[in-house]
Amino acid sequence: MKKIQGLRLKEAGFTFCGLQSHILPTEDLACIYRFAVLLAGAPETAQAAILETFADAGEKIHHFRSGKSCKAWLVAKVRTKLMKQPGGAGAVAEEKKAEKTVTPGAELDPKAVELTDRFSKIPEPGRSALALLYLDSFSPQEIAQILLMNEDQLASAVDAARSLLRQMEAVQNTAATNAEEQGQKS
Amino acid sequence: MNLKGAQSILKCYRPGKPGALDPQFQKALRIAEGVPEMKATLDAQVEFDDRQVGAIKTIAPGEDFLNKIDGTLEHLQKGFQWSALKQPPFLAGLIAILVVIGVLIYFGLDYMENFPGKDSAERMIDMTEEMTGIELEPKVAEAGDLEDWFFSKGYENFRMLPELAHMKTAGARVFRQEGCPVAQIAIENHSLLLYIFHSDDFGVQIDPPERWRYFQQGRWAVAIRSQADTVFMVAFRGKTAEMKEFIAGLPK
Repeated sequence: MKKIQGLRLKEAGFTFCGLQSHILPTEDLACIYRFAVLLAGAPETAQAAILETFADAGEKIHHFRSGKSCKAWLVAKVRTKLMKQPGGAGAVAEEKKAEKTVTPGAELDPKAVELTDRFSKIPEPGRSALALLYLDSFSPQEIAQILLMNEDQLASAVDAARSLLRQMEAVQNTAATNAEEQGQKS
Repeated sequence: MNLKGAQSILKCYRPGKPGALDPQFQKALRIAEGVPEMKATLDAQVEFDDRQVGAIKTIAPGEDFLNKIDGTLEHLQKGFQWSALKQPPFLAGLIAILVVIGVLIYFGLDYMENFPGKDSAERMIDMTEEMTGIELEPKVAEAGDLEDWFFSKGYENFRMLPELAHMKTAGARVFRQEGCPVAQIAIENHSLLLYIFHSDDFGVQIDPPERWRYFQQGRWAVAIRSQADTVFMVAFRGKTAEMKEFIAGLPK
């Protein structure tokens, strides 16, 4: 099993005259992956979008000297790719769930499944805003830049998305409690 | 910052995470500390967010996917070497190399145009600019046959290059510059002037002597070379390129 932490992708970077063409640590890839899963709602779609993004990014990926700006750029590209999918990213998630074709190694933790399910019901741009905030990788200013909005708009989008997520969690918890009680009664 | 502004800003607050030390956040946090309701809301928000982040952190790319990404990156790596040269450090290096080459070319050209005693040669050309034509005595002959004529005018040890010797002259004279004699010949049909003088008189040294050196002096294109102790300078109104063409066309 290869390590997920570390600088796996850094090794694939191009070094010339002692200069690293770009640095994209595996942790950054994990960050992009989490964002894509939250947006797409299904690991398969997220993976496809990331692979396509990397392929489309082509040579441009090596132009970044700052790992952070490269990550922000890739995140924006992945988002654009997922948004372009018919019906948006959330719709794809529903289709993928119906297909039930799970790629080996792409299974999610039950808590993560619940979370991605809830996220897929949050409308854009709140979904992307909250997902980016929860990555704990970008400052609010950077998130606003990625989403092409100002910080006030970001705060509103995050607030609306969080409220919705909280409501969904509350409904789910109530349903689970009711089911538990009914089970005990019977 | 008012209470409403602080509430809005803190919607994106993640303690200990990127941007948390931003002065705006710090200011908003100080306001929240003074309002118990706001502080409770913020604490609940942080607790809720941390719970979600905990679940998100369990999402990790699988081994198969990482291998696919490696494959994609390897593919990209093959084709990007040239584009990597577009990066600022490479561009800066490239510009530095070009500047060095430019400087070397400049000094090379300067070396090609300069030689000891060039000032005297330039003064002769400057003087030509002031000539009206009446200074020259009419003299129709072959340039190589003027040894006696020049001797009679005060220029001794006249020599002529074989490639210029058969040119027909229209006029000639001997003038003095810095007290030393200079033989000047106007060549018929070519509108060119030929200067012949002794290199020691003016400290002119052409190295190697048999090689023509070219320079532009105002409107005049000039070619100069030497043979033994005599310097031959050809000048006409035009460009250096035209002069090079003229010299190249001389009989060998």
